Amino acid sequence: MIVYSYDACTGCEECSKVCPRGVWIIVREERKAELVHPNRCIECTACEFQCAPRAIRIERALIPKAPIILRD
Amino acid sequence: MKKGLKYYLCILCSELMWPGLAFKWDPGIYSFNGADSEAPVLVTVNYYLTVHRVIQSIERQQLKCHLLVVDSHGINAWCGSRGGHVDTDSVLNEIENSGLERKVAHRRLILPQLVASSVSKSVLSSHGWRAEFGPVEIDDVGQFLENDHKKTPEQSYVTFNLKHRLEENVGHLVFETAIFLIMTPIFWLLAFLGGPLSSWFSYWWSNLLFIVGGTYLLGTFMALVDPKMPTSSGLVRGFITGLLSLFVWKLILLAMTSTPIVWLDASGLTIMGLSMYVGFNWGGATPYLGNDQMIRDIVVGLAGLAVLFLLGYYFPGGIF
Repeated sequence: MIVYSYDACTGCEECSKVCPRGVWIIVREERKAELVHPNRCIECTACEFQCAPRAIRIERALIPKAPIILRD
Repeated sequence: MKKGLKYYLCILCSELMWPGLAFKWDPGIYSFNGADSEAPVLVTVNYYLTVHRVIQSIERQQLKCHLLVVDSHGINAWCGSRGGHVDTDSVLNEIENSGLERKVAHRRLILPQLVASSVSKSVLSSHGWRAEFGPVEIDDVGQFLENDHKKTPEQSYVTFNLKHRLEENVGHLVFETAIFLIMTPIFWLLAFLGGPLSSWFSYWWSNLLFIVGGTYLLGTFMALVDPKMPTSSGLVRGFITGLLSLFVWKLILLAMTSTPIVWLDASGLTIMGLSMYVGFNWGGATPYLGNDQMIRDIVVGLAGLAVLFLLGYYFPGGIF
């Protein structure tokens, strides 16, 4: 399960560059990452590990849950 | 680069899913096509098959580069990264052990993208190395270098094309056949306990070929139609394949005999059980499933197999 803090994202693009499943894209106008294919996520944690501002967290849930997007 | 005995032993061990038997490549720095001190440095891990295929690709693309082989205890890049066998320290240790600093004038590394779960660019940067993640496939590295170290989104995606799927399928078929061969004498011995179990005595021996052959057919079917399946769950794929196979099998029987058919008799239940078993095994072989979904598939799959087993036990003449 993806927990994404929209406000913490700096748009550095690392998540989209390392995701092997195309889960993320970068919206250049807003300089933010956007979840486009959350269902494709296989919880490899590459995006979480590379995210310098710690805007992404991958949580292991036994029952699949929709991603949580945190916004102010 | 020639494929020697080690290469084929690696293939065999991977097909038996026995990573402990995987061979390691000696870590260190290797140079290709007259690479000088300005040539780019590619990084890979020391699973023999990985390094062999990387070198093959470097030679095929005529890349003038250095290759830093990092110790991952002989595990491939993706599994090694998620499994904790390779991390930033492994890269830093190998840089130091290999004397890479003396070999190249620059401080740039091209890491395999699939180690991104455990290798930190910022930590490497704090040690003076500017790292970037290259494309997933080594065959795209030439284009990546020509394109000013930029990759297309597609080059970041793990693909699972027909060649990969058929290779993966053979690995599973070898493993599953080995399991059936191990199980056969166990079932044969259990038959001596008597009662309903005694039917296993002849069933397993006389139907082993049917079971192994069926597994091969089901696995190959799953490999071929993989992109058309409506779900990533291996178990559900196995269930769908089972229903289709059951329908085809019974239609063949219907065409061959004049007696009325029973849908869920021993052969029908075996087809469903085999297909679900091959399905959840197959799901784990694809790059589409996370750990949690795989565990759910296995738990539900084993429960499903137990239900089929009990149906066969209590309704030996079949249902429907």
